[in-house]
Amino acid sequence: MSHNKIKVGGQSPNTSGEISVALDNLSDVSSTLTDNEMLAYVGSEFTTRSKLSTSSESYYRFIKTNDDYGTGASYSNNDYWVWRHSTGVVENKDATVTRNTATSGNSPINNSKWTESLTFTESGTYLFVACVAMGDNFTSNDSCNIQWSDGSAFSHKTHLNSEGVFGSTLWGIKTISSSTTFRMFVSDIVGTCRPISGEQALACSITIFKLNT
Amino acid sequence: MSHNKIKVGGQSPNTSGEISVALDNLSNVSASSPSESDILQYSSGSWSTAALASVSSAAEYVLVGQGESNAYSNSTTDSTISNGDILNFYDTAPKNTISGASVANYLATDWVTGITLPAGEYWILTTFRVEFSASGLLGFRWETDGGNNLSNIAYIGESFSSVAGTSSTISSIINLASSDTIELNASSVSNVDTIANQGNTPSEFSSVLILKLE
Repeated sequence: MSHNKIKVGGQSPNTSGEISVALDNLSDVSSTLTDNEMLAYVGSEFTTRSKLSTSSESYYRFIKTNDDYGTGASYSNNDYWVWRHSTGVVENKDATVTRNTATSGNSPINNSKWTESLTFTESGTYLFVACVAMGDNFTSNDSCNIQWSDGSAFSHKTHLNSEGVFGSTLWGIKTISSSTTFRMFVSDIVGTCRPISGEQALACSITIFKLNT
Repeated sequence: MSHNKIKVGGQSPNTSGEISVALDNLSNVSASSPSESDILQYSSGSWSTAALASVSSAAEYVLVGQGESNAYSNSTTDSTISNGDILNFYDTAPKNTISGASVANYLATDWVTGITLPAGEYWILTTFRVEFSASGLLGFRWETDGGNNLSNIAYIGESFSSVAGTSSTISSIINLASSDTIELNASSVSNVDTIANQGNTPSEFSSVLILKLE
């Protein structure tokens, strides 16, 4: 029969005259997808590429090195937890993120070299992770709690206590659609809790991942 | 010739009877002028090319424990926390974007006793806090409900002795060959206060974050 002479994408009909055409039989597709791969246009054809990454696409980190504020200030309940950003800081900050200077209205100190919060303007879902500590002379049953907030708390609390270890890492996830300021606040203070100094600050970090757009 | 009447995807056979069909010729594909690195994306019943950067690459995660308050005594009928007991997390609105994952609650409460995950690789980050009746210690580790260890043991307390200097946070990569339920189990329990005296502490200070890696 004349239709048996027909081939589609190099495939001949079977005895029933049916032609089975697979993706890679197409003239501009070079290979067949396997698990976790996708089809992408490369050069002049579609070919397989490794899967889309599902990991974070934005990353911010703040680690303070050797700058001390000393013992001249201490937290009150609901103060923002502050960190130094000016000297020796390893920081990878997205240009759209604003670092807000520590002010006496929100924190124990009023100093442009210190940060009290971060403002994010790009909509999306973010994961906030922080390793926190207290500063000099955190002794004799001094303790406090710290929690992530955007005006409302959105993470578990971490409990810092001079007499033991009860956790020192806190995390939370928040979705924003407009400019939002994030901070950590200190509460349930017992004794004296001061801003981090050099040695304690080396144990602190803030890492923020953008989980999706 | 009769075969000349046949078209596939709008394409006619050549003189040898061969029909060359490109991706864009398919009825549900629009890919006439792709750019380098464009990928094929399915949307609203058809396939079209899209820039890789425009395709959502949302991470998948489970987050249980966001600082809410509830008495731990609502999570169990036990009177004490003992070695091997499951430690529970409180969350009235746990976040779960992992397809196929689910959380199991204690009765009709918002206390989560376990998390079922589909096969895959995950990063799990966990902290847990309890009240102590005296200087004591609590270890905790993720295990499958079949008892297979999945993570490092993290410790909290004031009496570390042989485990001094260890971490108070679990951070581990876990691989599940098939869907499984994981539970946080207590170990090295020493001077952990009674369930009745735990109050809101486990609820407010405990959290688990699971990110799907593959």
